[in-house]
Amino acid sequence: MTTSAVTTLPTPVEPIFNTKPRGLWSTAFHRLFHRRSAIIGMIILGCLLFIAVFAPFLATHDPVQSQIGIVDVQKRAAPCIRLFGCPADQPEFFFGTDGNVRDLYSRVLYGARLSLMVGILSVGFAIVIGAFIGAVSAYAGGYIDNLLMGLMDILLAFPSLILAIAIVTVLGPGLINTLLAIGIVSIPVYARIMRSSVLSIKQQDYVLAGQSIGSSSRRILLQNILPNALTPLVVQGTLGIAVAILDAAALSFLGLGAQPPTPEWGSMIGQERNQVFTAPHLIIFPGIALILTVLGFNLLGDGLRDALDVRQRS
Amino acid sequence: MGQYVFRRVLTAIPTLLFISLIIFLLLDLAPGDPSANLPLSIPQEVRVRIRESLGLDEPVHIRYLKWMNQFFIVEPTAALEKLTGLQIGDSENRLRIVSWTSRGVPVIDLILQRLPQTLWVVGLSYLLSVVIAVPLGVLGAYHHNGLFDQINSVISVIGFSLPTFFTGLLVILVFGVWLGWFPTIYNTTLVINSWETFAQQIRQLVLPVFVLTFFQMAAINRFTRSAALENLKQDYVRTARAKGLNEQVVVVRHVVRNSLIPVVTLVALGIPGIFGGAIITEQIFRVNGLGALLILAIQSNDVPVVQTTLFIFAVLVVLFNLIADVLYGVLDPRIRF
Repeated sequence: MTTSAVTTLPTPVEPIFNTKPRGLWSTAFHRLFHRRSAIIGMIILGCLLFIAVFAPFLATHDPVQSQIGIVDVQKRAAPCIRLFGCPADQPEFFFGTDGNVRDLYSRVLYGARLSLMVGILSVGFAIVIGAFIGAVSAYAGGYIDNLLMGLMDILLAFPSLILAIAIVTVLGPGLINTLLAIGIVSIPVYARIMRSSVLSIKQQDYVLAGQSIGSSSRRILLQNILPNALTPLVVQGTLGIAVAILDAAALSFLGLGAQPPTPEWGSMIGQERNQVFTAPHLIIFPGIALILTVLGFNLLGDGLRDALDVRQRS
Repeated sequence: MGQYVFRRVLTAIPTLLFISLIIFLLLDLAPGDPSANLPLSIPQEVRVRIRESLGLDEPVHIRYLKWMNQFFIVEPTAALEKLTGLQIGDSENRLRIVSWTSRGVPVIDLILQRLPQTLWVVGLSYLLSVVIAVPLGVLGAYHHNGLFDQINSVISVIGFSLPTFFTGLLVILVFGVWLGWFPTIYNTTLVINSWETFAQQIRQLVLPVFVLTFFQMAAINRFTRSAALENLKQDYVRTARAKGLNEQVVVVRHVVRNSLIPVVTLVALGIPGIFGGAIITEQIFRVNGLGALLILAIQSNDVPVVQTTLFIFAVLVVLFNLIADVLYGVLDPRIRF
């Protein structure tokens, strides 16, 4: 800092900290990149996102087009890769073919799109509705609070899969209905989190200060409360995506979710599950893809929780 | 305490009535029709008569009240009659809740048929997962960030992430087909009357119970670990150590006891899940349990079975919520009603 000689102002005190203090998100990212589990999770999810986006370029065949009559190949053929000694007179299928002579490799790639979409959209839906219910409940209090939270408790008490099955029964099987069912089932978790965050933040001095200078309650809710209630929602949301993907795959496995020939991992396993003795590759490849996806979200969620936990910050 | 329980039971009644209404209306809105699976050659007027015989021509509220009457008055009377052997009223013409597809079998009988299989598989695995996961969680917390804790945490995260329909098929493939150690299908008709059949029962239980236990353990393990971690940092632990108590007493008598309070609640809340059956695992190992019954009933539009199973389930959920709350108060002296 340069101070001119004419001014009578005292020279400003040098700041104690030489480095700029980090904000909440910056600290969080810094901590996130120092957690092994979070890094592994991010790598897995990065690869997955890449596959989902570039699936048309990575796939070798059409995921729903049967190869019967196009090339000379048996149904449920074992994987055949040139690099690992696949004879030149046989057509190349990286993961083999399924019961309808479709290329399993391309189907698994396209499956990444569906699973990511179902996970993110259903959790996004649940967070928006849940956060709204939670915020209203905490803000209104009293009778409305009791009613809404009682409702949420009932929903929360049922195992998510049974409830999702019941909802899909009513709506009818299909991917969109699965998405909705899983979204509805996960609402209470976010409502509870939002409610408790809002309740604790509502009493903070800065919110009281905002009220005393006459800010509207909409402004207080959006500007002061929401950003501070966001961290637990983000953590729970990441872990929730893992559960949502698992539940969606389970529904599709039972034949209630994505319908054939949609390349969905759960439905791929469900359709070929009786062939596990003769063609295990039809179960193993989609299964591994599903596990890696869910593991990625779980690891990232764990890392985020550690990184964003305010109590742990030194 | 007694007053608190009484108040909770009273509030449970409107909750249950509300849930029953929701279940009834939801299934009423469902597009399925019981005559949809009948051959197309059946003329329209016969279809109408079939619907009438099932009571479907009456308005919604009448059907709801009839179902409630069946559930809360007719069925308990029938059960009482069966238990005591007495005859109460006109038991011949009693209108019980009857399955549409199983030709006049009361739904309760269907459920009672399926219950033993579900209890064997799901109940046993739940018990096992609690018994294994709680010590693992406590040990993990005690050796916080040590090698054991890290391995334990990794295994928990993996257990969380494995879909049971994949692990189920995988263990069938490895242990059932390649190694041939265990049967791949659960034989529901097995009657245990000798040591040999008992051994057979144990052998066919191994794979489904393993798959379920591995999955359920993860949640309990993580929950116990974080509860124990929280407690290990408390002042009373330092006091206990300062008093010169040995580590075993500090951990087992002080930390574990206090950490178990939230765990007991979690475990109690999970018990209704046993009665829901492990739908996926039952499908894979062909266990003829309650989950399988529910799926079958959904697929064949058997509304009375779906309604009644879901509602019994709701009753259990509300009941165990109540038990969990009461247990919390009993175990934690800081909570007074």
